[in-house]
Amino acid sequence: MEVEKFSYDNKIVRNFAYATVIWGVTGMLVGLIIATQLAFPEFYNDYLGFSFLSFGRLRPLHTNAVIFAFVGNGIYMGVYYSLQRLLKTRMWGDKLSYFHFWGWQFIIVCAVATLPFGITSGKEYAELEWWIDILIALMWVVWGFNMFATILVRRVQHLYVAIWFYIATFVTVAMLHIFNSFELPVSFFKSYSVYAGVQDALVQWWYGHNAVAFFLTTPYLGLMYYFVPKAANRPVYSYRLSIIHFWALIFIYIWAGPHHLLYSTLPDWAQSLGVVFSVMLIAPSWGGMLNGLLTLRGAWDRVRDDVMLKFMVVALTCYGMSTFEGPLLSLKNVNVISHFTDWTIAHVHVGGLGWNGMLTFGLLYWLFPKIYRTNLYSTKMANQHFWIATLGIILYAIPMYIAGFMQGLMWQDFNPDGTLTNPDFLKTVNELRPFYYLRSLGGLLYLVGAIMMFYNLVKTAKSGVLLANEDAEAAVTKNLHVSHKGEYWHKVIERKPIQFMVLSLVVVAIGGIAEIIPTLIVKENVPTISTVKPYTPLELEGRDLYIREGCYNCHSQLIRPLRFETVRYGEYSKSGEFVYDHPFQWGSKRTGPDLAREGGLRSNIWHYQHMYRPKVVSPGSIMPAYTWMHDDDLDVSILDRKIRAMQTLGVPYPKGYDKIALKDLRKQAHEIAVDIVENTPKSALKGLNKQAKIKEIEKKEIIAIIAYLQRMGKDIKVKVPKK
Amino acid sequence: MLRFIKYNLESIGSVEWYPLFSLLIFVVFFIIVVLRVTKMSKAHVIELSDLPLNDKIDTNIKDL
Repeated sequence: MEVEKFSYDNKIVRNFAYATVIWGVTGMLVGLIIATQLAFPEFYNDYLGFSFLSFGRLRPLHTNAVIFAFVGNGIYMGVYYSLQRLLKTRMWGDKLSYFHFWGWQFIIVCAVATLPFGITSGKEYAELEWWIDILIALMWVVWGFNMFATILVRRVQHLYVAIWFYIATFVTVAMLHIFNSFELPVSFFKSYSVYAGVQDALVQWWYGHNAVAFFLTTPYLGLMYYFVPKAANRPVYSYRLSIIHFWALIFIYIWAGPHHLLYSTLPDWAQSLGVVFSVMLIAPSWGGMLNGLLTLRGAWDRVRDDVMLKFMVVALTCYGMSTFEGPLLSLKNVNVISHFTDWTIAHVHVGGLGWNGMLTFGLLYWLFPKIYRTNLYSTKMANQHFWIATLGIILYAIPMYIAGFMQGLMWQDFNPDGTLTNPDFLKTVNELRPFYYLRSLGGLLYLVGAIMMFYNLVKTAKSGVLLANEDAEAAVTKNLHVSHKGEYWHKVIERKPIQFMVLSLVVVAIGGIAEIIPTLIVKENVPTISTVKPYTPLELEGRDLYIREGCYNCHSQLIRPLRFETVRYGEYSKSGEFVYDHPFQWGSKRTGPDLAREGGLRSNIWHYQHMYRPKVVSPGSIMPAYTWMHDDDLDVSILDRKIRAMQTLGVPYPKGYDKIALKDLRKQAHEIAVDIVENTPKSALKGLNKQAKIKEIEKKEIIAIIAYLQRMGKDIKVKVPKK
Repeated sequence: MLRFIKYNLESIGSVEWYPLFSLLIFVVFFIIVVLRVTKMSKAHVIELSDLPLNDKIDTNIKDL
């Protein structure tokens, strides 16, 4: 037997490992900041009331950082390590590996440099602007190309199950990212989603849900199938189960997106499909979890001593909990309580902190001593990290479960006379304060643990020397790809990566096609409402400010057809109301009340004062003050381009309207400014005469956002004269 | 961009059958996978599940 010598690239694994830790700590820190903003809003308001630190802008930074920077780098770290060894082949292109590494870090830096400054496309978990989206697609393809090229020149015959998960991750995330990111650029820093309203919502949650499935789950399952057997030093419990797990999971997951839109204006059939497939998901998810846990059968004694196994057991347990809870939350009767509350936040953090976080920590503790050829600097400290992190998860999740359940029920309470028990939304928020304190403490503990790990890993690295190129050898094999007559079909497929990728793509595309195409093409799915008209130029600019400030992070724009919702907020939302909303802004969490019928509810002067000092106008409010909107002039320099972009997307502005839009904008702004000044007490004018005050405020951003707020949900109230 | 797809698909009747067909495809596909998996040879299963642990020279592969 001829033996070939080669080496594995450990340096790229080391790079991604450091990036995982550094961005992980950063993302968690931003998470802690926004958690404390809800717990101590007064402090932030008084001392840190900067626009770039406001909750609506930082929350997308937190989600993007932990998903794409922490978990993203974690995926690459694990894949670059395991892929080389499973294929007995060095990565195909060293330069390509490092191009991928630096390209991905550059994308993260772009996110940090744009999101806090309000440069966002306003779609949850896909906030990055169009040119960053292109960079993401490019870097994703670079990674995929490198992976496939390596698979094609491999020295083993079969592709282990972990690699299937990597392949499915690659094709599905590419598909999701591209379809969800169809945007029409207006300028370098501004774009509009090509989809509108209910269609945008469906595509967005098809993406959003499957970002969880194919970015946070399938690649990590791949890592689990490699690293758990490796750490336990025994093969996976059932390889047969892993095949069923894989195909069932990728087939079913893609359908579940609409469970994020229950009771919304999405067609009923699509909602029901989402629920059915979400419930079915329990089976493959638990199959995978049990397969992981049972791999440790007969090795449970080692779990007591091996810190990596401890992290893995908690990770798998959290995976089991969140994949049991997910289907539960997709049932309409549970969703009616949980949706828009902190329950969802608890759910995602059991998955994020528990499954992704703990698995990543386990991997890091295992990898560092391996690639640095040394022992872990302090096993004791790693054990302390384990307990601190576990306690952190508990202190995070339990208060949020209670908060969510409590608030969800409070919104539903009725008095015997048919009025709401808690008509004041703010009261239900203030009840949650103690839980927000506890959640911040949980987050703090988790962050402290991660910092301890960082220290421990750096010390470990310093005590050893990086084995940048690890020598390996494998048998030279010929004719790897020849099939035998009568061979088992899966054996053939798993040997042919390209066919395997195509089959995976077909499997995941079926769900997307069946759900999305009918929604896009069937006119009856979005009944038009004749009184719904395009936004005026000022409202459009105001809406862009709403997107810039990330208002959707705390306010929904979707009233569900439920009695307790319509009594509180008014007529339930209709899909025809959102046909000009590029992108949709339904939101997924109500830290503040729903705004779908805000238009005309309050006076202009109320909004003007409320945005300046929310806590004065609404005592006890936890909303940040948006003082900069009162100081900064509205930027109308690209208004004409925005109008033309909207026309391209099918919004029926009259031909040539881009040229006269600014005139209309000024006129409407003037009217609002006059109304505000007329209703301002003389003492508050600070010696200015009314005309001067009107002139001062009519060009400010605040006027535009008020125009938008006053328009929201008003179209269907318009009375049409009878013929 | 979507207009092109829309135009071609609007003529398709009974679009409501899409989800049912897809569900059917899944059930059939799932049953096939389960049936075939149960018929896998034990030796092959062991060979595959040992892949991550097999860091030494791979002697399992013979020149075919």
